[in-house]
Amino acid sequence: MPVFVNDTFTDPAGTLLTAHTGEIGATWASHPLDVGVYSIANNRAYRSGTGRIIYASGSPAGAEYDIEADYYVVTDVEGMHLLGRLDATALTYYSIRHYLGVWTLQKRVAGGTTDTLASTTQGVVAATNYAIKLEIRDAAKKFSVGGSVLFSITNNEITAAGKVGFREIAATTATTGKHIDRVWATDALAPPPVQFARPATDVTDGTWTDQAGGLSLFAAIGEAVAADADYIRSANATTTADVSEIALGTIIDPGVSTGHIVRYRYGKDTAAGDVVNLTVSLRQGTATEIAAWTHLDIPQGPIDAAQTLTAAQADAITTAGYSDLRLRFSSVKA
Amino acid sequence: MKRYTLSTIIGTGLDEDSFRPAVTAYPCNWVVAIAPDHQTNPNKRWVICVVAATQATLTAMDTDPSIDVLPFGYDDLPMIWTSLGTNQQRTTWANAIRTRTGVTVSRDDPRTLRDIVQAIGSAVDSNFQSDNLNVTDWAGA
Repeated sequence: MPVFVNDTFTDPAGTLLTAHTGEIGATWASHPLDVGVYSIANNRAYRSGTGRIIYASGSPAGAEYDIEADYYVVTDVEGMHLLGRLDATALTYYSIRHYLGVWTLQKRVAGGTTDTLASTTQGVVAATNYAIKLEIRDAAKKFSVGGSVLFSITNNEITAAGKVGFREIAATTATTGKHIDRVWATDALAPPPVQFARPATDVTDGTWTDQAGGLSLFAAIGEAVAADADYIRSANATTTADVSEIALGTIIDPGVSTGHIVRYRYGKDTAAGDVVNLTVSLRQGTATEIAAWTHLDIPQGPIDAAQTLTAAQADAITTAGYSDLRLRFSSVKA
Repeated sequence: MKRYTLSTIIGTGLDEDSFRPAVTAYPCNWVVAIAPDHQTNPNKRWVICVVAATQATLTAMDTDPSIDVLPFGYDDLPMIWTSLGTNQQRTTWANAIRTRTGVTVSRDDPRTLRDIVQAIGSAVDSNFQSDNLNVTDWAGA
């Protein structure tokens, strides 16, 4: 991923950050509306004077990027903010900081009031570096420490790419507060292309049938746009499950754990009658169940269903397995 | 354990008194979906949070008039609404959701919890996706 900011703050103690140039995209400017004065000590940045905000020169290619830092606790007082999507001419930003034993994510727009969007308790130890990461995506802002995700939020009120910066409410010294040992920022990879694995062949039909008279179940439910004239139906439910299994078309491993959604429509052909439960499972090959879920006492349909796999479930699909996914439908009278 | 909660907003919006959900007064981890116009829109003064806390803390929260603890958490999203509690309990929870957020949920609502959480979240944040609002488990202070 392209790096657009990288600074290890390698300079003599006392160097003003505005007089320092880091490795990549790291000449620093005080924010015109809150003129932060920062210095270097022990090859780390800290707020040393009046004003609060300073930002790096590097610009991301787009509004989705990661900011990472080695967040060094000299002493557990105050709390340096790491800023993303910072507007260089307005007090607009997302910020992450550690203060009073808590990591918080906040947002501020156009110098207005501040909303705190997340809070997670985690103690810190003096003289210790914490590897923090803020992933900024339109869909989510995700924060992790040492590789462990602490929270994820959905706010996207600030959409412009902006800059990467620091904010500290109170002045600290070379021997107090929280300093930044290194900061770097990288553009996000383009998301993998959307893929659809649609029904491709029948594995087993049970006593399910194509209501349009076709011989294959997959052809009745493989359309790209839902069309209910053609559908599959189990036998009238008994206490013995009626099971069909349909293989899906091949897709390639997307390399992500998110966005795995199983979509279909289901229902009974009448609101009255027996209580029928429908269990749907996503399987890999003949033996591996990736996920299963049950619709109890299904109502008259059709009803849209969209089941999103958890990250653990998505991760359970192997690279080869993406070419052998199957959907199993099991209908049973309750 | 984790639970969805509906919560009022407290604070003045200043640096050290930011706007935040009332759950922050309790020992817990939390994330929130909050409306951009919550200061001016009286219908947006309740928010939805994911809270990670002990059972005792959640019980205490549920007696707080500024918080409603819903009987399910992030990991329960695939379940259907009607699998929760008794008819009377679901009526109570549905009334709380409607009163606090304006989102209508019926006692016998056929939707999944994911769909219901999505509807509540979308009412306050147009960018809301239920899978993207989550917080780590509470480990204690």
